[in-house]
Amino acid sequence: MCSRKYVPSNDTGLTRRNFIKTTGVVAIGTAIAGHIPTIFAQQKKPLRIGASISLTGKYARSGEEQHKGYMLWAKHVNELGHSYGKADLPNSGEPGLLGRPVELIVLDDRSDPTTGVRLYNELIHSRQVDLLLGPYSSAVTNAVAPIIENAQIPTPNPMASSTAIWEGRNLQWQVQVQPPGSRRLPGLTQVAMEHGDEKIAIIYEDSEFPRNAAKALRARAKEDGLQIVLDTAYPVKITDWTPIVQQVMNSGATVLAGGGYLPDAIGITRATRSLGYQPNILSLLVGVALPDYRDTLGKAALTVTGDADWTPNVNYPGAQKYVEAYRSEYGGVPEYHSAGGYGAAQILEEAVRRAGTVDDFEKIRDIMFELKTTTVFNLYEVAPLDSPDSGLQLAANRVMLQVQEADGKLENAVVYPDEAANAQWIYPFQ
Amino acid sequence: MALEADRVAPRSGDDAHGDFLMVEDIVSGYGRQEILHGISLEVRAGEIVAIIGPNGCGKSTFLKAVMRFLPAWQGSIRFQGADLTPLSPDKTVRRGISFVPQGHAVFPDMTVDEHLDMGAWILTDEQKKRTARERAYELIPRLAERKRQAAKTMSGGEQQMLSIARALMTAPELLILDEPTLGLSPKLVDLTFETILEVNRRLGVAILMVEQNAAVALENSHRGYVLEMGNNKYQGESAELLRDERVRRAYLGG
Amino acid sequence: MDHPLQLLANGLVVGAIYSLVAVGLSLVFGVMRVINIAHGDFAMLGAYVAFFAWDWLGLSPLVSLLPAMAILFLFGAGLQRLVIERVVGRPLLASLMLTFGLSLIIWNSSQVAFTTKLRGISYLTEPVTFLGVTMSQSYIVGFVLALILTGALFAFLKFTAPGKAIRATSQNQDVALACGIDVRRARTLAFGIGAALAAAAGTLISMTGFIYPYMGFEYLAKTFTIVVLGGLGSVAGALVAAFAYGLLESFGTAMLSPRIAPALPFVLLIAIMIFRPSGLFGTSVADR
Ligand SMILES: Nc1ncnc2c1ncn2[C@@H]1O[C@H](COP(=O)(O)OP(=O)(O)OP(=O)(O)O)[C@@H](O)[C@H]1O
Ligand SMILES: [Mg+2]
Repeated sequence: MCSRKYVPSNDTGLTRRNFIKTTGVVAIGTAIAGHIPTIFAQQKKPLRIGASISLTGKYARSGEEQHKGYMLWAKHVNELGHSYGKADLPNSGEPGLLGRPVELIVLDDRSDPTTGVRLYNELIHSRQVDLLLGPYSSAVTNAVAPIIENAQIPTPNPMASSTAIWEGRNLQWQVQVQPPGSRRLPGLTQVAMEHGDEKIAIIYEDSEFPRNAAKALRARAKEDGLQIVLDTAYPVKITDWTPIVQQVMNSGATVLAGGGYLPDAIGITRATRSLGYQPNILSLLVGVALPDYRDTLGKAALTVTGDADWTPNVNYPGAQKYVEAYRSEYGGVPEYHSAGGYGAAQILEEAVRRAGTVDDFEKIRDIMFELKTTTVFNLYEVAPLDSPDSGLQLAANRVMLQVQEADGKLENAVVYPDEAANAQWIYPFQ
Repeated sequence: MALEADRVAPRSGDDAHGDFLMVEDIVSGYGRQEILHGISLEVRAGEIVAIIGPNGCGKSTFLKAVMRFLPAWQGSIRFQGADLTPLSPDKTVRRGISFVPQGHAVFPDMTVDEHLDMGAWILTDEQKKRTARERAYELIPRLAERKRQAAKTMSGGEQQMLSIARALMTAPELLILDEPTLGLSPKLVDLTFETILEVNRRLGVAILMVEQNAAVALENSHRGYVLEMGNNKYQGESAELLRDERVRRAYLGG
Repeated sequence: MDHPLQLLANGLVVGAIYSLVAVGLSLVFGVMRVINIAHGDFAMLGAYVAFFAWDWLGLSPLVSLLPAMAILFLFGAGLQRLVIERVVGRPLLASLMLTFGLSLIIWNSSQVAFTTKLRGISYLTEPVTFLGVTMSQSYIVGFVLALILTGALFAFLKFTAPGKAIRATSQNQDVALACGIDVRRARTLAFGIGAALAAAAGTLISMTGFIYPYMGFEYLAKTFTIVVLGGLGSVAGALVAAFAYGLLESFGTAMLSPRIAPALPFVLLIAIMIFRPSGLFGTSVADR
């Protein structure tokens, strides 16, 4: 199988970048990201960090975002001596990582796990990179996990939300950065309990994703002592949610959570408004995060809550500067994949700086597994090395959004967790 | 079927040839399928003409072609000196030809009154409509008793009468009937023919009818046509056809 | 059972909107024996007319209802004259294929033109309470408008000459021809009216729900069941069946389960197919 390598095109954001001219380092098909000041070029050997990303194929769009996150991180480290929000780490301030300019070597796995496996082998064995970053998607991450374990190189994985990759496998060299996919509607049960809500209704579309999300919600509601007064699936093809919301109303629930996708979010909100139902919390999957939701519903969307992996208005340290940097580098607003890429690289950066070495992989690894920190993307803490789920993400959470009005415009404010919040959770639902 | 012995074939109207209904060499069919392979037929003013022939030979198709429901692929249809061939069905009706299609030719959800109303569709003069309605009820008193009854709740015979009454609303000069006695009991067959003869005699309306009961048809008409497989087979005075050996053997059971 | 009045009201509102789509579909089948797969797409197009009138011009959907109906009337009538008229009298499969193709074309070009984005109009969303029944004003307005429009259709069919021509053509085309009725015109008119009513339904849906290019097919699936329930070609049957459908959805969800409720109309359909094969109000084909 012959893989077409990713060749950086000389357009848009890339034109402003100076490419390293050192011969022998830049092979055709190797993407080098990051501005490397000329002072480096003669003095220090570049620190080569390898990764394969899905730059073509079905994940191309998201993979490209993640790549931009990596590139922006390398640029900041090389220019500022630290990434945003990590200025105060030991061994920071001098351009590069521990004085060495960072050079990214990114190959394209074409969204194919088998190709990913081959490329990580290539990075480790033939290109002999110094450090690694994870690929895009749970599928590719899962496929390359054994290679990385064998090579014993500490690797943060930005975009693998599947918990199955870590659960029970006692992985020793790789950590999960993205919040696990099952943790939906964060803060819902806590906020409900704090305000004294007792009864929750969970309604969800009868398909794979909403069913799993409902399962996790159910478990959390039980754990937190909420009484589930209605728990029901509805079929996929419904066009009117009034009868179901009517049932929720009759059940006496003060918290309504669930849904499925965008149509469900809109339909449930419309039905809630139409019936004049006033729960204290109305929290819906997927749809609320999308602009279409607010555009369609207008003010009817106000104070409805929903979640997202990450949004450009989160308040994690450095996040706002990161969004600004992304805008001036690439134009537009970053998606969560790019923040995830940047965040994962920040974990590597922090572990290396704290270790004070790039060669002692075990030391870096130990620090990476013990670290409790925050990136522009999320909170970070993983299951310890000696646990069966070692490396599984424990602290990262999706963010809870709430449609709020600011200057006459409807916006998604981040209301949970506190570390990310840029606004107060408006309680009760109005 | 036994016939009443005293039934007399009605008198023929005037004998002028070719200036009432003249159908010449009609070829037509459905889609690409040719059903009529060149049929000619004439009806003279005031005359009763019967068409007989085996099932599926194209009798109904022929009537629909005359009514202009179907296009004529070849041949011509002339009525009272005018060429009907290029006309649409509604124009044909306006020329004074009325049609009672085969079997349950009613609007099931409409009442008797509404049927007469629809029958007078092409009339604009309210006075004419009223007279026509009175005449219809007078001709078929049975209908007058059930003005508000929906057609689908009426018996087969009543539906047949209703369809004829509807067709008479425009005071046509030619009434075309497709199997008016289909599915009726012997008593109702007689009643129906009674009515048809009455229409012919009293209102002077010429009749062109398809009948599956060859004997009754020929006994109650001036002339007859026998069709077979989309072609003319025999034709002549009804009385002569009744006597003709070949016709007797093929269509009259002996 | 809690709040039976509320359930009743919910069912009636939904039923009224379904009825607008269903009566048109049935009317069209009646006059030309064509099952118009693209009928739901007319609702979708009407919904977008209303949406853009709101988004660009700020027109209330209650105002844009009329232009939406007018535009779809012309579109439907034109489509019938130019394309669908050609399959009248042909086997059912021919018209199914044709209208299915039309539906695909309309749906796909709508996806290109409007994108797959979900949209809706936020208008009269305030709920009001009456007799213990709470409902947003848009639902109430939608219900009333739907009733007025179906009422107008019935009056039109019953009392006007073109309406009678449509009814006659639907009940027996040969006899209609024999009466001197221009059945082609009746068909074109009926098709246009069906499209206009669907557009009205789409406008109301844009106000009470949300719209997207594929919505046509989803409403078609429901209304087709309704039309068969009511008896193919029977406009009154479609009306009654639409309300039955709405009420079954509403009460079925509350009393049984949301998962079972959508199956109820089909249970009813099967029962009717067994005991009254021509539908609630249908005249069996043999009678025609
Ligand atoms: N609408 C139609 N489309 C296609 N073929 C048809 C149609 N109507 C009739 N036919 C065919 O045309 C042929 C003649 O039919 P037609 O109804 O004219 O016969 P008929 O002589 O009136 O028979 P019957 O005595 O049974 O009424 C038959 O083979 C029939 O199958
Ligand atoms: Mg016949």
